[in-house]
Amino acid sequence: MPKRRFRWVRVAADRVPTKWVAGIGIGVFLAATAAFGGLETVEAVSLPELSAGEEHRNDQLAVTVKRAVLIDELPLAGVTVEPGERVLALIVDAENRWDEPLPTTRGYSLSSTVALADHPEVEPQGISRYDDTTANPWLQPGVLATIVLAWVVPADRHAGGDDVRVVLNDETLMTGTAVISGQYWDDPVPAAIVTLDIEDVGAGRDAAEPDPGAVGE
Amino acid sequence: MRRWAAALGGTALVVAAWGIALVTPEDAEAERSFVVPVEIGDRGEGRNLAVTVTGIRAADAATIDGWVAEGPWLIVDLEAAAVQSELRAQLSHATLSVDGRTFRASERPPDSLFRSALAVGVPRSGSIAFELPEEVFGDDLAVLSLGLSADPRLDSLIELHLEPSSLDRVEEAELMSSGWAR
Amino acid sequence: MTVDAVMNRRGWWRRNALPLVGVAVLLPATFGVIAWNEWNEYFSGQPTQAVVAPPGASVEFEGAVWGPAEIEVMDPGAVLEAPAGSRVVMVAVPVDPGTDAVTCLPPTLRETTGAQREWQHATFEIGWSPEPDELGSCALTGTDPFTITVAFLVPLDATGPLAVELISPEALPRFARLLVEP
Repeated sequence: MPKRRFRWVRVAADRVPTKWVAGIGIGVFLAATAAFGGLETVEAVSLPELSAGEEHRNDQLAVTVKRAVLIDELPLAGVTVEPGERVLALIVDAENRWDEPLPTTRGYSLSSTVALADHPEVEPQGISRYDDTTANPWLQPGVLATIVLAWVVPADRHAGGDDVRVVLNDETLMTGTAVISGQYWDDPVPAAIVTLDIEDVGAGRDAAEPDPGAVGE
Repeated sequence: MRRWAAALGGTALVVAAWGIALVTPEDAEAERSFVVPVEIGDRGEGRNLAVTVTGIRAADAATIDGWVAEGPWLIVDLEAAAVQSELRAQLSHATLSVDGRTFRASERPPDSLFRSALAVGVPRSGSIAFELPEEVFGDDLAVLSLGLSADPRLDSLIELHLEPSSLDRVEEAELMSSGWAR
Repeated sequence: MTVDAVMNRRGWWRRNALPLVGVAVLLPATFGVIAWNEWNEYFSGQPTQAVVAPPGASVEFEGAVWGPAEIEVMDPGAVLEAPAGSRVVMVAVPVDPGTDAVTCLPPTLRETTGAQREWQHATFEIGWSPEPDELGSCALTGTDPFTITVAFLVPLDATGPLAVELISPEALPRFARLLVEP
């Protein structure tokens, strides 16, 4: 008889003290929570704090954020502004420390490793060379380049003399599998914070033009 | 079967498996480029690409059409043509490999043969320029490779071996203007 | 001896002869059908079926009348910016669209024998500025008859006879091939 064969299941199920199930569950949950440090707020990992001109170095890039400039418009850096907007531009020295050239287009190298701390998800809208305004330049291994990273910002968000905090991310070298071939850097993780004073240059001389007074020139 | 025969057969199979594992080509081999080696002045022809490297120069600064940039630079003068079709016939792959590092032809010069369109049977001449770190000019071997597709797998690559340390460095060198070779 | 034993004596291959024949036929047929399907899909997007017009004749294609194509080989050196070793070939194709407007890409020129090399028009490369009525393709041309006029830069060693090929994206895999005699 099939009914008889499975009777033990029923017997066993009846013996489970269902009254205590909720209690046991809560106990397990509390124990697990306590094991991970309770309901205390997780302490933020403190990142190294850098100031203008200090270098951050990883296996992919060496990046030095030199200046932060607020300017009315910066078409040579590849950004266009609407009324009520201005451009926040970072001038950085970047050296490719890998053994392959790195593009700076969306999602690659500087695009995904340099971000504004207040809006880390917004990649720079324009990337160009400081010296000859080449847009989205490639970074050749071991060759230092001065790059302008530009974001369009609401005109009232920043003012000259304000601090701007910049996040520098480290990425991991990935090796493509299946339909992806070759190696690439991905998975950006914050690794350092640079705090700079914003210079407001007004309508400005174009910050993408060489400036004899620039830091490090 | 006798015991020694089984042991011998087993050993032979293991050795054979090991041998096959040794001679099995890597995955990368299956998509390797077809390399056409050339010397300076030789015409090398691959699938839909014919190239003659006419000169190699080293300079502290490169210039063309009013653009000037500090380097150092390695400038390659060449003639290039398509062979069969002008569809997707651009010199899109130009790299220099030195000591485990790969450099890509610079996109900075306003006029360069890099990524320019090629004509079938009528060669164009011009230059491509590599922006390099100083130490490369002390190396004895660099490999220049030129191809049509930015992804060089399974396509022809024209390759030239050169000696950066033997190049005479000039202060400033002008890239050749791109144009018809003749 | 049992019946079973007699049957067994016929052997496995013989007993399974019918299914085996089935497998031998169906397995290659499966691969064949899949391959044919895939290649057919690929070729249906490529210009693979030429609608040919003999030299001096026109052809009906996509509801329009194309040709007869006229070709003029310019004197080397006498015209424009043709480099040594090449010549400029001017091609004019009259088009009567009929009741509906037609669309086509700029024509290409092809060798019909030998290497069957193919050229895109070089109107701008040779420094020729077409007149407003010398159209490069049939985009936005309406239903009035018009003439497509383009210039090709062809090496001296190009072997005739040549053909002007016109692709209308909607008509693929069919395309018009107008033979021309210089």
